Amino acid sequence: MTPTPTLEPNSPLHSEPTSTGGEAIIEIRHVARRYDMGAETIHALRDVSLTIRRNEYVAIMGPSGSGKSTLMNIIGCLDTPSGGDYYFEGELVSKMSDNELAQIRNQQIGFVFQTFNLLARNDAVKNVELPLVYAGVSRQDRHQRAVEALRQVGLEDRMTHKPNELSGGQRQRVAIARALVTRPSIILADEPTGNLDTATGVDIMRLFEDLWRKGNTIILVTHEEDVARNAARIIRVRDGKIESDGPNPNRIQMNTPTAPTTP
Amino acid sequence: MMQFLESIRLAVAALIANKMRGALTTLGVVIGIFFVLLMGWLLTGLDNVLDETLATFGDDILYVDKFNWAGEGDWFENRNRKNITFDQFERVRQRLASAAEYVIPTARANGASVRHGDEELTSAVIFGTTSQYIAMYGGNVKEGRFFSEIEEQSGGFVAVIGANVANSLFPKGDAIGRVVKIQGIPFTIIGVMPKRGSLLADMVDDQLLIPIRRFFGLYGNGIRVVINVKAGGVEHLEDVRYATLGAMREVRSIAPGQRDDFSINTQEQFRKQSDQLRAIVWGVGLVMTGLSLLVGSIGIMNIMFVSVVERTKEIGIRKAIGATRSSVLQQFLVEAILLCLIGTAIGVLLTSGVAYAGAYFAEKYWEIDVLDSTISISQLVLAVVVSLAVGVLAGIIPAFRASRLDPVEALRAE
Ligand SMILES: Nc1ncnc2c1ncn2[C@@H]1O[C@H](COP(=O)(O)OP(=O)(O)OP(=O)(O)O)[C@@H](O)[C@H]1O
Ligand SMILES: [Mg+2]
Repeated sequence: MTPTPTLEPNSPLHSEPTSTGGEAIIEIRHVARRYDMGAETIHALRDVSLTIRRNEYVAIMGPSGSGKSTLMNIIGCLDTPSGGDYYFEGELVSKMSDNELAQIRNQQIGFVFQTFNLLARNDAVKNVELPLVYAGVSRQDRHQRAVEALRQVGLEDRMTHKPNELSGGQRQRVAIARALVTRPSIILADEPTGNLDTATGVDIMRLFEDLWRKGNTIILVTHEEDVARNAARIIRVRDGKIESDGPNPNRIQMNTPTAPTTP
Repeated sequence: MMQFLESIRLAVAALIANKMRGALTTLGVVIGIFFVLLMGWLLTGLDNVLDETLATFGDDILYVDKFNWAGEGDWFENRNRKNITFDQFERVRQRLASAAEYVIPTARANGASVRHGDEELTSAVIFGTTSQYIAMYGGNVKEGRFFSEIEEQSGGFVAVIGANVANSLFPKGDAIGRVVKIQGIPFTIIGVMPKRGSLLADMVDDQLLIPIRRFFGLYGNGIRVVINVKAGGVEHLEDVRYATLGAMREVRSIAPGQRDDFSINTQEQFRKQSDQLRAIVWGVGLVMTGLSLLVGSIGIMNIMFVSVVERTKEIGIRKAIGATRSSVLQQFLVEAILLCLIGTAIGVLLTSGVAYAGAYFAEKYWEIDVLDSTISISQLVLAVVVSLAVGVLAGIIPAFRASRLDPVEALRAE
């Protein structure tokens, strides 16, 4: 991999990202994750090593139970490895305090879940505002930025709707707006289209493509080849181990980087 | 700060979502706070009674009697002491003429029959004293006049009646000039005393005051006399007490080294008695308060545990998007405290109602005017502080547990 000049996320100059990305921001070295279940030990991950650079677009694939979510949770600083080292932007995560981890989750990473994970009692704007609360942003700014993020995902006309008043695709877009609102450089998405129909899934993938073009690093978990095809790099996991890792030869470019209009 | 405001907003939202459950949970706190405030309210009333009582007795007056009024010493032994006689009073007065402002005798007989027409009082107290009595208390009659020195010396058949007696026998307020029969003997009413006592000192309003010589005429010379010695200022009290002690020992012929056969009583002794009463009210109040607050805090702790379990997923979401342990802790702690404060507010309202109604009815039906109709600020502050403490105690463990939840585990919850 040849070193390329680093670009800030959201740089307007960044029209066509390189598949190799910028400097390494995620470095995983011989990471293992074990679950002790009394008599037996479950090896969700065993000896996984990988490096992800800034502004890469990575799809993690593999059969059910292969360890994809476990890997994502570790990358997203939600979970900690049982063995090996994880460096986030050059810093050893296992050495970080709980507050530092919370700050990384808040500022550097935007997490998108398969089941959306929105707060049912809050409307769309309040849900999107939530990370900003923990970032200590003032009430007024919070609202403004949440509205902006919702506009970015094409939901400006659904701001005061509660999650149960929104379609699956709209909910996922609220979740994406929430992931974007703190302007993190890394977007982690665990099966973001898993609960959506194909057309809506395509809309969501357009959003990711767009974000990637604007300089974000995208890591998504999927078991759909169609979804993975958008990524520039595919990591295949099986039985907690990396089976293959390389550029995506069949990459399809989505050429409509604007917000989708399907409800 | 920002997060703190947000915590309050969250807590309010969470509580609104579970109105009924929250209301039931706060019941223990409501009762606890109710007891705290009720106790404070009663103690304030008790203090007022004490103040009034002490005012009635005067803070610079010594009461020389064979009995100890605070119940100290052996009551049977005291009872066997010889009564202080009118003659002894006269001799003590001579000896204290320069030391004390007033030295006057009083004698009383309980349960006398007092009649006016068909009306009869059985609980009246006949009180014999001298014309100086009214001056010694620095008071005035409400109507009419007190008996004069001449009436006193001649043992006139005149009476000055207490407020309760006047109310019972002459509800229309036309007592002056009327004749009442005490033990069958007619006395002319020449004055009515103002209402002076309440609760502890209520008996002063049941009295009929008559010249002490007339009193002896009715009841005989052997009746026990109490010598009232007014020092004329609290600062002279100790000197006068010393002088009184010497005079009494001389008059009662007590040899040096022998023990007194009389007691010199002061209002201090009432204070001691009322302090005991205070201690009892406090003790009972504290136990009840403590128990109900304990129950209340266990209830709140319980509901907070339930709340944490129910909202595990929410906690997971919050942690995943950057909530720190302390902000989750704060969120649940604020909720517990808010529950307590709501309970406190209800408790305060409840007690306020009881205080208002209690003071109103006590005044209206029993003429007890010592109860405040409102809760004092200091007690409100106490209640709020107590409820904050209970909120923190009840909320801290559930909140801590919430803050320690593993984000991945929590997100899995349904
Ligand atoms: N908390 C846990 N306790 C015990 N075992 C666990 C736990 N979490 C995950 N596992 C196990 O670890 C393995 C990997 O799980 P993981 O959720 O990462 O799979 P996945 O690749 O995301 O699967 P899917 O595609 O179904 O989401 C599985 O065998 C799973 O049973
Ligand atoms: Mg998974």
